[in-house]
Amino acid sequence: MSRYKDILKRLLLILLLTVMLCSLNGQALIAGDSGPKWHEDPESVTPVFIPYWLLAYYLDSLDFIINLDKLSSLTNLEQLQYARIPPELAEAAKGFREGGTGLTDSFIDLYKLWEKARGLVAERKFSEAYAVYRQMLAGLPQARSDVTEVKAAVIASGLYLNIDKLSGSNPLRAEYERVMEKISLIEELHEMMEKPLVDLEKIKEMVNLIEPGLLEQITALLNLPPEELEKALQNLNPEIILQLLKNTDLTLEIEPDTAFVGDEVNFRGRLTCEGQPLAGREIKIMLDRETAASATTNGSGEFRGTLRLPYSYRPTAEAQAFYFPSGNDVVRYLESSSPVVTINVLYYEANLTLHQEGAAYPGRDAVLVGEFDYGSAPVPPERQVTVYIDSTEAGEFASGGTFRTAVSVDSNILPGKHTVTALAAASGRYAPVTGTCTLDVKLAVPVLTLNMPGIGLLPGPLGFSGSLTSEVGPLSGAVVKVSSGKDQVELSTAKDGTFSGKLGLGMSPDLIGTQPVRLEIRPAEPWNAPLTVTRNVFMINWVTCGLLLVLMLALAYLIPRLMKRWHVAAHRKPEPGVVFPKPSAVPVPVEAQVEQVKAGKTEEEAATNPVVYWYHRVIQFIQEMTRRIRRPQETLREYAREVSRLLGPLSEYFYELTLLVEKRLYSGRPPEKEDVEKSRSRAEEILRWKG
Amino acid sequence: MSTSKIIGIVIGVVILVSLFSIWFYPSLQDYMTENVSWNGGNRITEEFNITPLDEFTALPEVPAGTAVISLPYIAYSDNEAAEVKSYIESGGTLIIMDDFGRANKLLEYLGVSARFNGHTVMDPLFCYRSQVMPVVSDLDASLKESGINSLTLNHPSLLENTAGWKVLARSSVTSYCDENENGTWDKGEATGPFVIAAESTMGKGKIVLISDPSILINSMLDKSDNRKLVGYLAGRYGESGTVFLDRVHLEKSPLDAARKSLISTRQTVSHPYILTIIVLILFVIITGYIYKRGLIIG
Repeated sequence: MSRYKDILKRLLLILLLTVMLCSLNGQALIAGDSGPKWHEDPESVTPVFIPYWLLAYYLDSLDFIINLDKLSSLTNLEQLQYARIPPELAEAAKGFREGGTGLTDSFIDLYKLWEKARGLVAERKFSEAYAVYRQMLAGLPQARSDVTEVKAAVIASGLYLNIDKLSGSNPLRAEYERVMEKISLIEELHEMMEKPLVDLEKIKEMVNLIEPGLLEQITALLNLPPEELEKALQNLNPEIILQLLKNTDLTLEIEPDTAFVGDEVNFRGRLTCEGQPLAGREIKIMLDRETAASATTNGSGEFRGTLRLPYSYRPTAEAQAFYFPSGNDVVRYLESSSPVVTINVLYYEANLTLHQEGAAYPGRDAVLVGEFDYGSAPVPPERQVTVYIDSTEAGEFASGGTFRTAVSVDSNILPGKHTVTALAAASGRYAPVTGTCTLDVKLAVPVLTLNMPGIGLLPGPLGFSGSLTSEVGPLSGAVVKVSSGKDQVELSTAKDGTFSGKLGLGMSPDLIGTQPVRLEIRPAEPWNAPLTVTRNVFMINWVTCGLLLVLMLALAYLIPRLMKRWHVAAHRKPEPGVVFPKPSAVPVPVEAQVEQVKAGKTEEEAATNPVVYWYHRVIQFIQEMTRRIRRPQETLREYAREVSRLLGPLSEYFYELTLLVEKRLYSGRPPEKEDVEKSRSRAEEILRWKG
Repeated sequence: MSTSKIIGIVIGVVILVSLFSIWFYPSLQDYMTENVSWNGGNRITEEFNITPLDEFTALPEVPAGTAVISLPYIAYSDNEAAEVKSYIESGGTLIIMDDFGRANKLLEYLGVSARFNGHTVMDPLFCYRSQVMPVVSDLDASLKESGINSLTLNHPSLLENTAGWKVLARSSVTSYCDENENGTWDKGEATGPFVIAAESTMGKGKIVLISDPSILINSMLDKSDNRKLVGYLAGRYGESGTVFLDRVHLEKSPLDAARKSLISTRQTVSHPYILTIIVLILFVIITGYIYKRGLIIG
C-alpha cells in the first residue's frame, strides 16, 4: 500500500511539473505578444477600390486647370501613377494623366494669352492684341486634342464603372456628371477663345451697308485716302478697322444683393461711350457665366429688369452685364462688360444624421434611423430620400424630419463595414442633403445543438442528430457534412433546422482513443455564416482490441514459464555477509604428515594429489575473501563462475585451477607434471593477493 | 527518490526551461531588433547599422554628425527632454516618428510650433491595398533627388502648425483625416493634402518630424521607396554607425524586459571573478557529494 502511495505522490509531482511548465512559459510567450497595434501587416490588409474617389480626383484635377493653377495641376497629375486602381482602368488613368498634363499647359497658356489680347484691345493696342490673338489661335488645336484625350479617359472610366446603369441621383453618377460638366466648360472656353476679338466678318458685311456719312467720318478720323480705307475694309485689316471702334462703358447694380434661390432680383445699369449714352442697345446679364436676362437701353443709356436666381445652392452668384455691338455698332463700338457684382444667395441647409439600428445581414433588410436637422430653418413637410449602400441604390422613401426605414442589403455583399449614403435631393429653397453612416454587415453565427455519443465502436455506424439555429432563425436546407478521417456523410437540414444521420466508420489500425469528428455546415441562406465544429469521440476498435486481448492471453501463459527458467539461472545472487565457519583442510593423517616432514618433502610433494592440494589452499582464501562457500549441490565449475564476479582479475586463474581439478578428479589418472606446475603457478598468483 | 529531491528537480527544470524560453523565444514587440516578424525592427538595424539605444545616458558626447530616431510611446521625463534639447542644440539631429501625438509634450518642451495631430490620415485612392495605407508622392526635391519618388505609410497621422518648416512630404488631395475613426469620410472632416513629414533647424542641430513610424518595421521597408528614405535619413543626418534608435521610450513586453534582465545578469556573471567563485562553489559541492557517497576515484 505504501508503495502505491509513493507512486501516486510521484505522479502528482510530475503533474505539478507539467502545469508549472505550461503556465510559466505560456505566460512569458503570450506576454511577448502584448501591446496595442499601431499598424497592420500589409499583406493581410483587404484590397479595396472605391471608384467615387477616382472621379473626385478627376474633378479636382480639372478644377486646378480651370482655376489656372498650373503647379498644383501638374503635381496632382504626377501622383496618378501611384493610385490604386484596377488593371482594367490603368489605360484610362494613363490617358487622363497624359491628356491632363498637356491640357494644363495648353489651356492655361491659351487662357492667359486670350486675357492678354482682350486687355490689349481695351487699351486700344490693336496690333499687339492681334499678334497675341494669332499666337493663341495657333495653340488651340493642341488644346482641343488634349481635351479630347481627357474626355475619352473619363468616358472609358465611366464605361468600366457602368455609370449608365446607375440612377440619376446616385452619388457616383452625380460625380461623373460633374466631371463631364467641367470638361464641357473647358470646351466652351475654347470656343470663346476662338471667337475673334472683333467680329471682322460682320464688319465686312456692314461695310456695304455703312451710311455714306459714316464712311466719310471714318475717313476723316483715320486720315486715310478713301481707296485705302476701302482696301483695308475689304482685306479685313483688323489693325486699321479696330481704330474705328470706340470704347464703351457699362455699369450694373443688383437690388437686393441678397436673395433666396429662385427669387427675383432687380438689376439696372447704364451704357455710355465717351460719356454719351447709347440708347436702344441690347444688354445681356450673365449669372455665373450663363445668360440670365437681357434688357435694352433707353434714351439715357439706362437699362433695367429682373432676373431669377437659379436653384444652384452656392452661397454667392456673380452677375455681370455685357454689351455686344450689333448692326452698325459693329464698326463703331467695342464690346464691353460691367464689373462683377456678387449676389449673396440664401437657401436652407440641413444636417442629416444616420445610424444603423440592429444588425445588418446580407440578403435581409437593414434598419436605418435618421433625422434631418434644419436648425433655425423651417422644416419642409416631406423630402424624397434615396439610400445607397456603397454605390448601389438600396431604397427610397419620403420623410421630413425623423425617419426609420428598412433598406435592402444585397445578398452578395461582403461582411464588414460599408458606407451608407442617404441623399435628399434639392427642393426649392432646400439644398440637397447628404448623410452617411457605416453599415456593419455581419453574418449570423449558427448555433449547433448536437447529439452524438461520447463513445463509439469502429468499425460501425456512429449515429448523430441535432439542430441548427441562428439569431435570425432556424437554418433550413443547410448542408451538413460529417466526417472523420476518410469517412464522411452529407445531409441537409429540415425546415426547422433539425437533422439526423449515421456516419459509417471503417476499419483502422487504431486501438483505443479519441478521434475527431468534424461537422462542416454550409447554410443555404446568405445571412448565415458557415460553421465548422469538431467533436471528439472516444473510439474503441473492437476488432484490434479483441486480437490484442487474445495475443496478451497467449503471452500471459507462455512468458511466465520462460521467465521462470531465465530468472532462476540469471538472478542467483551471492549472499554477502553470510560467514560460514572455516572449512577444515583436507585431513591428512598426522603420522603421514610427520613422515613427510621427516622425509623433507614440501606439503605439495606430500599431498596425495598436488592439484587438489593447491585447489584447497586457494579455496580457503577465496572463501574468506568472497564470504561465499560452495554449496553441496553446486559443481566446482558453477562455484568458479559464481565467485568470478567478485575475484576480478583473479577469476581467470581460479577458473583455470578449477578446470585442472576437475580434470584430475574426473579423469581417474594421476596428475601430469605439467598440470601440477600449472596449478601451482595459478595458486601462487592467487595467494599472492593474500598478502 | 525522496519528495524533496523531486520538488528540487521540478523547480530546477521549470527554471531552466523558462530561461531557455525567454532567451530563445523571439520577441513579438513592435520595432524590437530581436523581432524578425512583420512588425519587427531587426532589418533596419542590420541593413543601416543603426545602434539601439537602451540607456538614455548613452547619447553621444559629440552630437554633430549623429542622429537619434525616437518613437516616443513612453513620455520623456523632464531630465530626458533637457538632454535631448541639449543634444539637438549642440548639433545632433532628432528624428521623431509618431502617429498618435505622444511626442507633442516633447515638442512643447523643445519650444517648436509643429504638432502631431494624432488622428489617422486615410487615402482611398492613393494607397497600398486600402485607404489605411496611403501612398504619398508629393515629396520635397531633396528626397526626389535621392531617388525617393513615393512612400507607403501604415496608419499615419499628420503634422499641424508647420509654418516655417521645410515640408518633406504631403499626402494627396483625396486624403482625409478620419477624426471619428470610423473609416469613412464624413462631412466636416478635413481633406488633404496634409503635411506628413517636415524638418526644421534648432540651434546647431535639426528636428525631423515624420507622422508615421511604421516605415521602420520589416514588412514596410520593401514598400515603395521606404528603404531609400531610411537610408536617406541615416545617411544625411548621421554617418554610418552613428544613428541611434531610442528603445528607452518604446513599450516593451514582459518577455523583452525579462530578456534584457537576463542579458544583464549574464554579463554580470561573465565577469572573471564571479565566474571563478561560481566554479569554486560548484567544485566544493560536487566533491562533498562524492565523498559522502564513498566513491573513491582510482
